[in-house]
Amino acid sequence: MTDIERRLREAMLAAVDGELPPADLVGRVLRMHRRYLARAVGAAVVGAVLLAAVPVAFALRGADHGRPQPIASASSGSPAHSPSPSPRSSHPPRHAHSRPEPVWMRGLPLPPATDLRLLLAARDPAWFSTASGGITTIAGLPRSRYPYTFVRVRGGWDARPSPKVPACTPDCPDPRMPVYLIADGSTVARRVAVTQETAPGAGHVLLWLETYPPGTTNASTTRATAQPVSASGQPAGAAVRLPTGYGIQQQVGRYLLLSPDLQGPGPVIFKLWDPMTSRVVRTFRNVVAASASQIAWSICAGCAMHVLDVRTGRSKLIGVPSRTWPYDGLFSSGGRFLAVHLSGGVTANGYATLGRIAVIDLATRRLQVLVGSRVGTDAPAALIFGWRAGSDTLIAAVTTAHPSAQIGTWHPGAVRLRVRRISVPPGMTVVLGPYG
Amino acid sequence: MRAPDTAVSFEEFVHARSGSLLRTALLLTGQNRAEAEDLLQGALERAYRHWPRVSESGEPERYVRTILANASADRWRRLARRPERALPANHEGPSTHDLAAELADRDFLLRALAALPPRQRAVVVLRYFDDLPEAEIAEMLGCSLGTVKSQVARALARLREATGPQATAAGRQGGQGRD
Repeated sequence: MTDIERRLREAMLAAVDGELPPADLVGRVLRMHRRYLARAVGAAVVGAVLLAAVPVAFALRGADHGRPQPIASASSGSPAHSPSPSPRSSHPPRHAHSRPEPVWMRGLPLPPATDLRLLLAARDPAWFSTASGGITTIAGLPRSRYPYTFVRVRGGWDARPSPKVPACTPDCPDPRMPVYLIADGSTVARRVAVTQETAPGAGHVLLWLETYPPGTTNASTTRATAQPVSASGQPAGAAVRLPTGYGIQQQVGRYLLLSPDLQGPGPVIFKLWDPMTSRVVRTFRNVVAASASQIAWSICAGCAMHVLDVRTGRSKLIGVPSRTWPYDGLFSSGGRFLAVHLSGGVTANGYATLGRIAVIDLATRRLQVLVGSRVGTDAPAALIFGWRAGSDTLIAAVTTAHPSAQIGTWHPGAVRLRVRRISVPPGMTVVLGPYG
Repeated sequence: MRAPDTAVSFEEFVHARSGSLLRTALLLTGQNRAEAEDLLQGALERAYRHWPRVSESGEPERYVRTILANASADRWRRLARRPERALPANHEGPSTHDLAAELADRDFLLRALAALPPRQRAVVVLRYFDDLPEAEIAEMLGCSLGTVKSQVARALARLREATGPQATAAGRQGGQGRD
């Protein structure tokens, strides 16, 4: 066996190792068979009708020139011209009157005693208690002219004032700003560094601080320098220079997952980069989520999602419902679950329609679309989610431009969300997910 | 109506062999899980229609595998959803032979496999994943032995071409590369 044959065989075996068929495969085959029988019977009936209709049509032909022929009307309704009843091979029905898209999640009521501590973004960030509705301001964060932006890191958030529109936008990097660390639930923030960009680390590295040479006006043509730091803000290794035009998305194992500074139309190419050798070890199209040890990606609508565990090198394929696309996902802190946005479809120009939340149990590879989580992407609201610190409880939120918001929770094993409307002070927004 | 005992044996067959068949279908469809499930369901449904004859032949799996291989090529043609794609450009081979390099090589080979014309892909999957002799593949696909041999050679040449630098690097490290 030649080398290419050996590698090909190994690649194929590894790619589908452990893939299991759907549990109800026999049922699906039998349903498909019943549809086949129905079509066959239908075709026989139509054939019989046609045979009977032909002499009639000829008899009427002379007297009825201007009217549609019975043969034509019969054949246009024959199964051969009808869409296949198979849901996967037929197009979704087009409604003459488009229904308004849902703005809020639906579900069972969230018990009033359930207290979720939610971070609120504002010029004075604060914690919000869902049980009492109370607000606790976070000390140590100076009131900023600019709104704070947040990046989820291990055990908390990093917070950084971020000018919405830098003077040299869109090409220049953010100005240097102080970065603060807010531990989960803590009412005190701690200043750790001054930098232009941050990204989550892994292992003993809490954060990567990215800076550009002074006077940089175009980030996409300049190499950024990245410094790993520990939770105390001290350097946790040597600084590295990143490839031109790329920034850090997340440290994954000993590698850095890099994303391009400028993202044009088409698939976004992410690079898994080894800071020790400054080499790209692998590229990914359309990364859905990344954590300190795992990367999930999916290359097309309806394609299976790949999840690679960089520590073990093993990857899994997760089946995704037909004509949907997972995006903007988040691994649970323990790494067992992956929550993703799941589009209800993809428009011609690549935008998602009707977002839902799906949770994948990576141990069983089962994808569960959360009932009631469907929210329109055109609605004046945003559907966001995150994992409750240190648990496998998913918290979802619908945030709007006005004080009314909605939160929902899901626990492993639950079928439906539990939801509740909340009212947040004007100018504040719930922060969940990897960024805020 | 179908006799109950026949239906049971169909179920037994599905339970015993559907995992292996699904894995073949996944490779035939470029690892598109939804399409692979569709393909497998279609093949099993066709087998179910003729199950007494299929099971009596003693080779129901071969029958289903033949449908899978032929339907995969026909399916893409009919749906016109997967026109032949250009093979990905040669990728930069990592300098060190580590886990990530191996993963990158596998990923690249699988993408190159998915970009092959469906007929060539089917031949490669049956030959190197299902370990079927070329003569049997020829019989399954209804073509000559020579056609199978040339399809395999062309497919390997395309894969070799697509993974050129990688193949060279791996060959150097493995010390056994003939490609």
